[in-house]
Amino acid sequence: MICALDCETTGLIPGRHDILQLALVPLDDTIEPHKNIPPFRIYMKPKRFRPEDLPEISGALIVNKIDINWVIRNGYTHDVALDLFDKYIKQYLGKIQPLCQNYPFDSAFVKDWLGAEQYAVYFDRQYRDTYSLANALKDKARLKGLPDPFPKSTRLTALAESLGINIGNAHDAFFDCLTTAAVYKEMLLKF
Amino acid sequence: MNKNVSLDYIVTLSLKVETTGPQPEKDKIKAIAALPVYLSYERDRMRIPFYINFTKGLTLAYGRECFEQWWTRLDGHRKNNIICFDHRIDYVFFRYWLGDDAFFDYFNDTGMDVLSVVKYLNERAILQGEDRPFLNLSLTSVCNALDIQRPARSDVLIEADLSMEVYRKLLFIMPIAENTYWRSLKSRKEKQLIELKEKYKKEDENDLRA
Repeated sequence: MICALDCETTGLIPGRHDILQLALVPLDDTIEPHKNIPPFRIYMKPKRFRPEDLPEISGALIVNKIDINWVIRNGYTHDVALDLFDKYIKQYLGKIQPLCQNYPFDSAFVKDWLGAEQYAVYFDRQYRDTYSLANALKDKARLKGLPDPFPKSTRLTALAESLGINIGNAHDAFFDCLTTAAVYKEMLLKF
Repeated sequence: MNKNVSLDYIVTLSLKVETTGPQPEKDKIKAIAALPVYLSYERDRMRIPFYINFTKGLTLAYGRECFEQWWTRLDGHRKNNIICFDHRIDYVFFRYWLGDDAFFDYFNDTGMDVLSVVKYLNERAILQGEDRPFLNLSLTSVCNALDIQRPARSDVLIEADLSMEVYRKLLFIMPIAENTYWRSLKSRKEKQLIELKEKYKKEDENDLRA
């Protein structure tokens, strides 16, 4: 099943930084959020976090506007999150085909959390990536001498803006999943 | 990471890594190739490709040193400007090989891949009630569908070249030229240009009058 996937993290480097928030939104055949399957949304305690790391990760926290102290108090530990994820997948989904904005980034963090073996159990090798696709559409336009379809950037917010999508709450994993799905659908229909 | 690098300042490398399995901690890298690519997705034949085979005793550390030297000769004064390009993007082995710091120094986080485009073309066709152009998503099947010959015995360097050729062909078959969205975008741009010309014309006239 195709699922939009997004995670907010404490930084850019998996293995050094951690997932703080993860969302998975199952999609139906028309790339709309599935009506009968609930999304999976979770906050996770960062397992490598030390208070002295705060200056290093403050940049990421400004971007995703997550209160790390709140997550440390209220988030699930990685193991509990894994249990919940496992139950959710078994109850609702089969193998997941992820749809991401920048698949290598999200998949690397999820692999770091689940481990490569477990990742292969839950996730299909096939994926969709709106970031990569937007770059391909830009390439196509350049080679054909057409106007740039995404002149500002191929970041999610800019893509959504170029395609007239306004879901809001950028850098919240769940809302970014909804935006990614809407962007992908618009790309399928418009281009 | 540099978020807004213009394409003109970026070196696109078609990268390929061959491994003994999917996990960098357990499996071994057999060979790595990096092929400089023009913005038109043709091989840049003025620049020497990078190729290293680890199956005959070369260490990963030696490979890193070689890559650094190659990169210095190629474009070493600029960092953070490699766009990774592959059939299926997966940075895990490159990160493992180069180390996190070096990896994020070299690579821009933009990635291009064949798989995303192929999936997109299939789904676009389905939404429009047409047949899927690609029945299977493996590189061999995509090559067959695009009439590109994949050698029976190939290595990472040939594969890197092949991925790029496939991508270039895919860009040409992406059926977007006659799409109304593009036309509206084009006419909007043309309208903006006309408005800009009129504005300058008026300013010139005012200057002349003055």
